[in-house]
Amino acid sequence: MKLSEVIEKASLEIVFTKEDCEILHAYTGDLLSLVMKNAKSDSIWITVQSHVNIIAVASMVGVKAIVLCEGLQFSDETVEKAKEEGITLLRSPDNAFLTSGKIFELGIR
Amino acid sequence: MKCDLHIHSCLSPCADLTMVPNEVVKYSPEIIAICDHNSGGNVLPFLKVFEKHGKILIPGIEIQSFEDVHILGYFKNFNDLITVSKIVAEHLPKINYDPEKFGYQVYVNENDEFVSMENLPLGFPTDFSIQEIIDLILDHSGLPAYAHIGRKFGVLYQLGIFPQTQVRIAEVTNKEEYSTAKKNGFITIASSDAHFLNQIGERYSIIEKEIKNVEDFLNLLYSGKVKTIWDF
Ligand SMILES: [Zn+2]
Ligand SMILES: [Zn+2]
Repeated sequence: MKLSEVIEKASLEIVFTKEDCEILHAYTGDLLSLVMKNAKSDSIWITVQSHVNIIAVASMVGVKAIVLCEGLQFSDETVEKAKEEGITLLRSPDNAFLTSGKIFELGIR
Repeated sequence: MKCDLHIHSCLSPCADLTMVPNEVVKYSPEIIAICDHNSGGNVLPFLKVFEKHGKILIPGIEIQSFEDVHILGYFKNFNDLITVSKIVAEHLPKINYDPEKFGYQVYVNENDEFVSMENLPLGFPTDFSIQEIIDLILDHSGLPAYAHIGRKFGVLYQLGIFPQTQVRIAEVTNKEEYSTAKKNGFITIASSDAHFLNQIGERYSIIEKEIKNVEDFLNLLYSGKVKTIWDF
């Protein structure tokens, strides 16, 4: 599914995005060591972890977009890094469970 | 000389109530640091007892960031630790603390007598970021170190890779963590993170020089003169 379609259907707020791409998988988690081990490339990643390291981890793993839940804010530093790495940043007012559920319903695994 | 730079006292909610000065000193190598969760409030009686026994005690603290990362701070001046400890206290959650549920947090004196209990939840994260904690420690002439990097609440466990900060020292618990830390240019130390008397010295660091005082030690630590068993 196209990232733009995921964003629209799961009603996510765009903080930064560069170009549309294909999203094949999704992963939910906040421990970056586990994300590095277990997330697949071409994923959308649902988390409450906002430390700037999420960008480095996302680009290492091939995560295309990060959804920050619970209405939390990305720091300026994180947004800057995301621009450098071309990682899409999204926000959701819901918790990680509900946000993941919405994306799961779209058929993404 | 052996040193164990991460030991909890009975003030830490998860530590045993036997972690009192005159007991800890019996099990301790020549140099140790008391690093309670989010507080330096029990360090003074340990300083007194260790001095009596001719051992060196480094005033320390283990602060938890909102990213759930544990950062150790070592101080040459006890008063700097207390200032930091007071600031940290203001950044802990305000809840009704139930010691039955979360663990007893006991202040002790130099005779091992329990004097009072702490009602702030010391085992909870502060609302400080990792960077804010590092700045707080550095601003008070302290030396910051990442605690147990690959374990729960360790920087690598939580954040996958080392963030860019001023921290130069990493506490490692095995050879793999040691190699990762070295590859990233860190000075490594190994410590027990003892919560019980019999855990003291389980892991330790080595300094191949005679040390007179805390300042001496911290200067040598900062210049990479403290080693782990994996350095040999
Ligand atoms: Zn810890
Ligand atoms: Zn500890």
